[in-house]
Amino acid sequence: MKKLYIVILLAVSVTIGLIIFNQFTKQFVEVSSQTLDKIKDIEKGEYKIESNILKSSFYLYFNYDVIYKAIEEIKKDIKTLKEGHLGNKFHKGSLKLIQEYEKLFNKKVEAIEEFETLNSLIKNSQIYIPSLALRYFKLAQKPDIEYIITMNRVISTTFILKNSQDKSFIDDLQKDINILKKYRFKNPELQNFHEVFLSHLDVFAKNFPIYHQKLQFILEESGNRKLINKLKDTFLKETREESKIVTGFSVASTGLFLTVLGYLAYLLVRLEMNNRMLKKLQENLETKMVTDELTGLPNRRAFFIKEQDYKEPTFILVNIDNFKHINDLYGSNFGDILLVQLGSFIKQFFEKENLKAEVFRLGADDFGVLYENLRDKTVYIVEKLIRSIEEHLFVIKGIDRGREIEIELNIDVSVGVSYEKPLLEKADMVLKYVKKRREKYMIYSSDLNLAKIIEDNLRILGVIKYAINNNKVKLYYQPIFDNKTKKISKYECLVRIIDQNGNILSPLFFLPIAKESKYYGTITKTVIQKAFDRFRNTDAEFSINLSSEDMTDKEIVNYIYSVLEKEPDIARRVTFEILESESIKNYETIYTFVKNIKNLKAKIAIDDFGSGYSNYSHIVNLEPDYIKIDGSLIKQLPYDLYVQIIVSTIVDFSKKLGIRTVAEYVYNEDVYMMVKSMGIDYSQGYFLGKPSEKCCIKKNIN
Amino acid sequence: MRIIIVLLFLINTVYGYEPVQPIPQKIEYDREKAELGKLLFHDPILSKDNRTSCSFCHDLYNKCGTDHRPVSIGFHNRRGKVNASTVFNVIFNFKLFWNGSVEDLKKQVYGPIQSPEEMNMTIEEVEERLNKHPLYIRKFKEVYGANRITFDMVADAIAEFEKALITPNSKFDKYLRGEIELSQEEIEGYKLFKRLGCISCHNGINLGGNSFQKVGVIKEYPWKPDNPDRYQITKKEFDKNVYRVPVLRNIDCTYPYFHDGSVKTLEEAVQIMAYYNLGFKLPEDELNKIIAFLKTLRGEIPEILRGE
Repeated sequence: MKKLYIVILLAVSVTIGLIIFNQFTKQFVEVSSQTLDKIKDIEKGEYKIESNILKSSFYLYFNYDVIYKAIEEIKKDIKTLKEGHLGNKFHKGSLKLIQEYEKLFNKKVEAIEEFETLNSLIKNSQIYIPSLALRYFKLAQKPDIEYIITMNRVISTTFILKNSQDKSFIDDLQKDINILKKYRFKNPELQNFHEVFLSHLDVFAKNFPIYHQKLQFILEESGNRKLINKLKDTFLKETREESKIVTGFSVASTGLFLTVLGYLAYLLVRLEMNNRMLKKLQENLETKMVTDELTGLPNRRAFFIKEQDYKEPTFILVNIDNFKHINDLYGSNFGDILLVQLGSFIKQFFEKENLKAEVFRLGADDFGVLYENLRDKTVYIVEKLIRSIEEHLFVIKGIDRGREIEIELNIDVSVGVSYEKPLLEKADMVLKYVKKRREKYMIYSSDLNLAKIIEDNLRILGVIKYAINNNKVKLYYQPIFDNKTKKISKYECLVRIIDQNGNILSPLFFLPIAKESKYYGTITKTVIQKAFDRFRNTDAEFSINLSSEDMTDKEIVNYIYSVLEKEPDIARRVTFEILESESIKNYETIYTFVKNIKNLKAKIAIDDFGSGYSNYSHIVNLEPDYIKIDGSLIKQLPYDLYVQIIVSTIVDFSKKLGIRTVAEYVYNEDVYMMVKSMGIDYSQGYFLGKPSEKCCIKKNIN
Repeated sequence: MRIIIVLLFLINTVYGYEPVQPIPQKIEYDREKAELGKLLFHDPILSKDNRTSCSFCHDLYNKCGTDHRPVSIGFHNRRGKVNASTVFNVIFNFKLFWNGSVEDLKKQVYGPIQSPEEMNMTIEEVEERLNKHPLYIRKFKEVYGANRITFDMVADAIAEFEKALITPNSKFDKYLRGEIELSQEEIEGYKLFKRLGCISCHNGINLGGNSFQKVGVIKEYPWKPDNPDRYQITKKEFDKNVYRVPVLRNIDCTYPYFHDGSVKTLEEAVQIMAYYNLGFKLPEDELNKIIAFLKTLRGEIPEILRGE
């Protein structure tokens, strides 16, 4: 930046310099030529003066104005030269010469003035002499012939003398004057004439030699013109010297100009180079930004850019099933290698299919394929892709405790396809749907109403939020009967929420959604708190449902510990119904929790036992107080021998372990009878008592 | 080159040689400066006693730029030594004063203002007075753009005014321009003027004022040491009674004549010149003719003096 300012400053100053130089040169040339003109003017003036002096000497009378005007002009020129250009240091020689010339010229002017005086004197007499001579004849009664002859000769001599400028005739004149001087006239008028005549002749005789000398001096001897020529030569020589400075300045400023120009060019080239480097860098960055580092495939960002280029896109979203488990099993390094292999496998698949498709890595284990149209072939392509992947044996080399190992692996994938924008969002929707339905693939269409599902979820989430904020989380109580005494043994607390319109929502609708949100913990706490409040002043026992999420949530766990510690009387009467499910990842946490609340005198029930996923070893470890047999078994009990065998087995091993059993879903008398006959300890169901807000037996005050 | 120049001058002479030129009808000058000069010329502020202006000795309106006195009367009625020359047509003179001791009009202004017999001022006094005078402060500011008046500006303004004092369109000038004819007597007078050799000294626009010439060539003219002649400057014997040739323009109006104003009439002056420089007085008829010619040299009053 600083350099740029310097360059600008330099450029400006060089430009100013050039302008000044231009002016200077122009002025120099002008002044020099003007000065030379003046010198030449002086030379011309000298000629003019000389020619006019000649004329004034030639003519009997002359206009002296012409001469003095020419003199004044030269004087003016001398002054101009002296005070003007010749004053500078280069023209010292010329200045000296002009000063010398001025002196000479002043001398010449002096001579001219004297010449003019003499000229007029002589001319005055010359004009007058002939008419004067005539007087003699008027005055003399007897003219003297010799006098007349001498007079005549004298007159002609003056004319010869004057017009020839030949000094030798002065002697002739003087001789005749001497002759005339001898004459004396008695007649006083004649004598007077004689004296006047002699006086006029004397004017000639006395003044002509000086007059002649002055004229010669003015015309030939003054040396002025020689001096002027010398001045001219000197001036030209000096001007050549002076112009060297101008040339030098010109070379210097042009040099400087070129230097600045060169420097500017250098800066521009460097700028261009920098620009190119920056551009390359930018390109690199852009490539990095749109490329997935692991697989080298274009990434999610690239996908959003590229998808805009497609007019009728087909988008295939491929997701590895249970990729998390693979990562957990073999480590994330292994997972990464699998992702790289799968990426290139998909790419190669489409190359082999001769299909111009782009493959993206869109997320952790999400791969996207994008190509134009070919919608009639979608089913064929997708099915073939899934088959190819699932049949492919991925061989992954890894290191296990310093040993190189090779793992061979088959993977399953799910696929979502969409044709409509936003492509990724819609494909993702169907992919989730596919996973839930445990299908392989699905093509998005608006008929699927996936959007509506999402909308409903959002609505329910809104209701949950409303209920929490407005104390609309309610508890319903369903009685559990002792099969021997046929009396209510305890109550199961069931959560409900009430929406803005007063509708009561069952947990079936809102709990799955609540689990995904931040409100889930709040709901659990609210249920515990309300249950405790309800049963504080009773003798009744009651149960509360806990999910595995609750039991692994530190905040909830600590809350439960604190309420149990605070109110041991209630703690004795509470049972936590926990659900065995495959989503339990860390059994140690669960064991710890169960042990802790047991120590605090609370009891444990295994909920929905016998459905789907049931692990006996876990049950043993948990040491539950109750097992609640799943409703799907109980409702079939009177009518299915196979179910009767399962239930009796459960009852049998429970009894052996000292665990009491509870039958859910007792909805008619047949079931109730069967439950009792099979030795199940407790019953619960619509046949015996529906969940309601009403509760319960007041505290028995003895 | 030299030949061409000489030829040019010869050609110049072929189409007619005339030793007298008419006064140009117009002369270029700076009107503003001249008007200011005119004011100063008539203002006695420039003299010690506040009574003597330039116009005191150079009456432009009635006396053709002279005072019609033999010698001028200046400061405290002191008498000068010389006859006041006319200030008309001075721009055509090659030098000023009787002996040509001053080169130009501007320098001339310094003379009379500082002369004890004339205005008796110093340059500083003049400047001091004018710089206290509101009118002049304003005028000089207008004309010279100066905040302070200097004597040089005063001289410049007066010189510019004097430059404008030309008297064109005399009968003789009109004759020279071919506009009118002169009378027989006047023509013969002019011819005599040339035939007798007067023209050899009295030539040019002003019929004089362009060379130094001697009075008393044939008959000796009495010389006095305080004569304002060339001898005062050169101290050469030859220059005794050598003067700048007097101007003959408006000559019938610029009496009395000669450097000491000793000659009252024009006739007398002509006869004196004839006697001393030719040897004889002129006969009556010749004198009359010359006088008739000389009277044709009376020009118009300068343009700058008119319209007031």
